[in-house]
Formats: sequence, structure tokens, C-alpha cells
Amino acid sequence: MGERILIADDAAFMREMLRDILTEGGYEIVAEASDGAGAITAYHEHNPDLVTLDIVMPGKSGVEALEEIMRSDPSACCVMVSALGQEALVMEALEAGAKDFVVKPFKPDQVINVVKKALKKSNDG
Amino acid sequence: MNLEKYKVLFVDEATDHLVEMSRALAILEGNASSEDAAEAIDTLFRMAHSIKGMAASLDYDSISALSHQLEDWLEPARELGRVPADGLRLLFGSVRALEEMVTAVEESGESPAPREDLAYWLSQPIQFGRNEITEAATQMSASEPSAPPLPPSVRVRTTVIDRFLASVGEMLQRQARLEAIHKDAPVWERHREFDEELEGMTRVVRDLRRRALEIRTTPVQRVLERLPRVASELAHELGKSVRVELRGEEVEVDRAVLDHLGEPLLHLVRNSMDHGIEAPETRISAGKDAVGTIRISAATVSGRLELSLDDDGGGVDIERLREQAIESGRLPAEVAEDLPPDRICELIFEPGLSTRDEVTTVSGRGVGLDAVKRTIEGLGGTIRVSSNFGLGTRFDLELPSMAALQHVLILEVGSERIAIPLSRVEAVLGIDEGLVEQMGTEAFFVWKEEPLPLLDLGERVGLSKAVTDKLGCVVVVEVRGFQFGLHVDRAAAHLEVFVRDVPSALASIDPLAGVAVLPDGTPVFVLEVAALVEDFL
Repeated sequence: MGERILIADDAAFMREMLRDILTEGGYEIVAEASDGAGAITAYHEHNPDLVTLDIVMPGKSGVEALEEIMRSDPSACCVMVSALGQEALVMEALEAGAKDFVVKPFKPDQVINVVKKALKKSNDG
Repeated sequence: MNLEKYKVLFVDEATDHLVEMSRALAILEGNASSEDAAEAIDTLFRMAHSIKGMAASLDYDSISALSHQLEDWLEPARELGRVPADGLRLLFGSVRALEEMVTAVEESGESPAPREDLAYWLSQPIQFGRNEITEAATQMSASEPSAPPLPPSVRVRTTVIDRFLASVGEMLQRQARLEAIHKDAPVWERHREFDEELEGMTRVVRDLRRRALEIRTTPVQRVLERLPRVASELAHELGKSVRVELRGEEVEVDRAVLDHLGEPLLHLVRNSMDHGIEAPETRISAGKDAVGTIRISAATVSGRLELSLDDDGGGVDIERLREQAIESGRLPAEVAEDLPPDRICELIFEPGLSTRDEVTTVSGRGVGLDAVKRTIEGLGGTIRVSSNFGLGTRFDLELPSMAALQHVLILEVGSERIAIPLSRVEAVLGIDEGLVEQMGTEAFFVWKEEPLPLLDLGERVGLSKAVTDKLGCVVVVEVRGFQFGLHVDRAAAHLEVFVRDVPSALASIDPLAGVAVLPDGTPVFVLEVAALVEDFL
């Protein structure tokens, strides 16, 4: 079984799409969260190898969730999912410790590449 | 990538998002506290953003472009926590355009055409007056308790529910068949334990059926909640002022019914705004409140959904309508002059009749009320109208609240069987209980000294030649207060059946409402009784 992944996105559509792409790529989805607070709880509960965090979510945003996860677990491997026009927020997330990011709309290969790279970076570091 | 699956997910989720956006707009339109307004703008922004991401993933370029522009346009409003009044109109228009686009995707699966007009307006930056900015900046935010959390729920695709329900329906039928076989068996062949087990299973299956139906239902809120927004948008366009009051939004009905109610209700609201509610000056001089009221309420009464739409507008000019009916040759003068006002009022459901002489852009000239009536009757329901000239108009709709399972009466005509919804049946009489009178080509069944128009069902649906005159029975049915008799050979049984949609190849046949499979495995057509009434009007 491949590495264990947590998906956080407020759109069920996006979660489903990421789940399909990542499962197809051999990864195991351990949990899904639909907002920032849920992502933090699920992170502590499942201790996944990688988290995909959507930037715009209700309540706590993806960036806020990232900051909180990084504070409690500096070795956490987080990948941001952003849309065009969110470059500033992506930069902020990278500075806060996100390993990489993928921009919507994405192709399956792009997601797999980014996840692979991020996990490698995380293991190397 | 399984495109069909994502398309369905997209339509479902985008529709939910658009409902939330409508709700946010309604908050912004009312006198929301600055905190509520900021939250509503944030919701609009997030929902637009989410729709953009989904649409872009499926190459629905026009939808992702429009939602992207909407998101950009909202950015400064989000920072400021408010939207100028002019901007609200643009937001209404954009949300409506997105709704139409999502519907187009649902219907065709193709990317809809872009909306250049909205693209232009959304490319213009928000205009805040100087005063507005300082005002907004100095406004204190009222601290209010946050909204209660939503009830826990999961998202299930309707096709999944439908397949599940179809299986439950089939199980019900097989179970009923099993019971029938068992009952018909000679006593010495029966097995006591089998008997007990079968009884237990019957209970479980009934319970399963009830639970399955619970899954299938959804609150009418889903279609009612966008109506206030549509009305206020139209009010803007028409220079009128309106308040929409909703009641009974929590009433639960079958999704299959609800899915078809959106358009007719929208049309009735448009109709009220266009032909009913008057301009503020007119209202004031008539001694009314300048702001018109439309009351929409829902309730379930003995398994049927009752909806009413009541406005305090100008009402229908019955005498003008009467004249029109005569002028257009729709009714002979001597008939029209004798008809009571409520029957004349019903003429507004006739295509091409309207009391307004000019064509308006909102609802056209009387276009649509006939379509509304057809849709409602297609769902096995009825619609009635009543009006007080000068005071307002009221539409009463009555529909099955559960489309899937229906009590039907099985009628036999020759060797064929036909089902009709039991809710329409007033009485079943032997043909010898009354008197059949022939008047020209029309037959009447005189019962309790009342002549009921009589229809030979076999002949009407082209099944067989007329029923033997002296035999058979008369099923008295009622549609919209109008009673008539159906002459058939026999009323065989009363059953609860799972009614499915008519296969598309047969869908054009006029009076068919659905197909059901009887416990013995034979299919039977369910007749749309409301369609038969047209024969007499």
C-alpha cells in the first residue's frame, strides 16, 4: 500500500477528483475534510504521510490550517491546492512550510508529480 | 476520467452552491447587520471560487470565466464588507446566469454559451461613493451569535437513490407476489413456519419501504427559497416593490415532484410580478401599501402536497376575460355569459388568452400559464385559480407528495388492464345503478339525478371497441372539481404500486402517467386522469 494521504477541500467534487487521481496513483486516502478545522483534527487523528490543502475553505482557510499543522508537527508534508490568481497566498503558504502546490484545474499527472516530489522532499529532509 | 460521474457531481454541488449564494443575496438585500453582510459576501466569494474550480476541471469555460470574474469583482466588496445597491443587481443577474448555465450543463452536458453582457459589467470596478467608504469604515460591527451548525448530512447522488428505490419497489412487488402464491395455496400445502417467516418479512419490507421513502424526500425549501430573490429582481426591472413571504418551507416531498416544481413556481411568481402586483403609485391610489405582497405556502394534507401562491395585486379582470373568450371564438357567447366567475377565471390557463393587451418582456402575453398547468397535471396534480378583481389572485396547487409509490385502482377493459390513481376516484358504481343517456355523440350517466359525462375508457385509449352496453361499471373520478365517469368492464383491485416513468419511446402518448408492474409480473400503464378531462372542456 502506498503512502497515506488526507484530502482537505470544501468541494466534494474536488475531493472526489483528488481521491480518484491519488488512488489510481497507488496512494491510500485515509480521510477527507471539508474545512480547515476538520483538516487539523483529521491530521492529528490519522497522522497521514501527506495532506492536500485547498486554500479557500470556510472557517479556517487552507493557509491557516497549514500554519497550525506545521506548528504542531514541523515535519508535516503539506501540498496546497490553489486556483489561478492566488499567487500571493501560495507564496505565503510556501513560506509557512508547504512543500509544493498544484493549480486548479489540474491534470492527473500534475497531481501525482507534485505529490511524489513533495513526499521525496519530505523524506529527504 | 469518468466524465459523466464528475458532471453529475458538478451539477449537484454547483446547484447547492447557487442556493447558498441566493440565500446570501437575500441577506444582503435585507437590512443585514454589517457582520451578516460581511459573512454573506464571503459566502458569495467562496461559492463563486468553488464553482470556478469545478467548472474549469470539466472545461466548462463559460461557467469558470463568469465565476472567476464574479470572484474578482467581489474581492474589494469582501474587504469592505458591503456591496453598493447597484452592485446587488449585477450579483442577482450573475447568480441567475450561473443557474441557467448549470441547468444547461445538466441537460446537454455541453459547455454553455458565454454571457458577454455580464462579462462587460463585471469588468467594471465596483463604484463606492466616498461617503460610503468612510461610513463603512466607521460602522461598528454588531456582535451577534453565530448561526447554529447545520444538521449532519451526507451527499448522495439522486441516481443512486433512484436505483435503490427501484430495487425496493421490485422487492415490494415480489414480496406481494409471494404472499399471493402462499394465500392461494391449499391449506394442506402450507407450512406454519413459512407462514410466520413470511409475515415477519412483510413487516420488514414495509419498514424498509417507509425508510426508503424518507431518503427520497427533501424539504420544499429547495425550490421555494430562490423565489423571493427572483421576485425582487423582477421588481427592480419593473419599477415595482414586493415582499415575498414563505411558509411551510420545511415540508418534505418527493424529489421527483420537487425537481419539476421549480419552473412552474418561477413562472407563477413572474406572472404575479408582471400582471398582478401594481406599480407603487397605482397601489397607493388604490389605498394599498406601496409594497406588494406575495405569499407562498406549502403543506401536506393526507399525503398530498398543497402549495398556494397568493398575491395582493390587481387581480384578474373577469369581465374582460369573458369578452376575450367570446371575441376569440373560444367560447360561444351564450355559454360564456352563463359561466360563473371562477370558471371564467380558469380560462387564464388557456393558451393565448390574457387580459393584458401589451406584450411584456417578463412573462410574455399570457404565455406559460398553460404550460404551468400541463406540468402540474403531468405530475398527477391540479392547479386552480381564484381572483378578486382589484384585490389579488390566488393559485392553489395540489400534487402527490410521493411520486414513486401510489395507490391505484386496476381497471379491466376487455382483456387489458389499466391503472388510475386512487386519489382521483370518487366512487365505483355498477352501470345498472344509474341510467346511461345518449345525447348525440355524447353519453351521460345519470346518477342521483345528476348527469355525469361518461367516457368509454377502452375506446378513449384505443384499447378495444366500446364496452358491452348493459354490463360493466362506472368509475366516478374528479379532476379540478369536475366529475365524470369512466365506463369500464370491471374495477379489479386496489393496490399500492411503484410507478416508474413511461419509457421514452411511449412518452408522447398523451394520457400516460407511468408504468407499474403488478404483483403477478405483468406491466400496466398508469393513466393520467387529469388529461382526460380535456375531452369535456
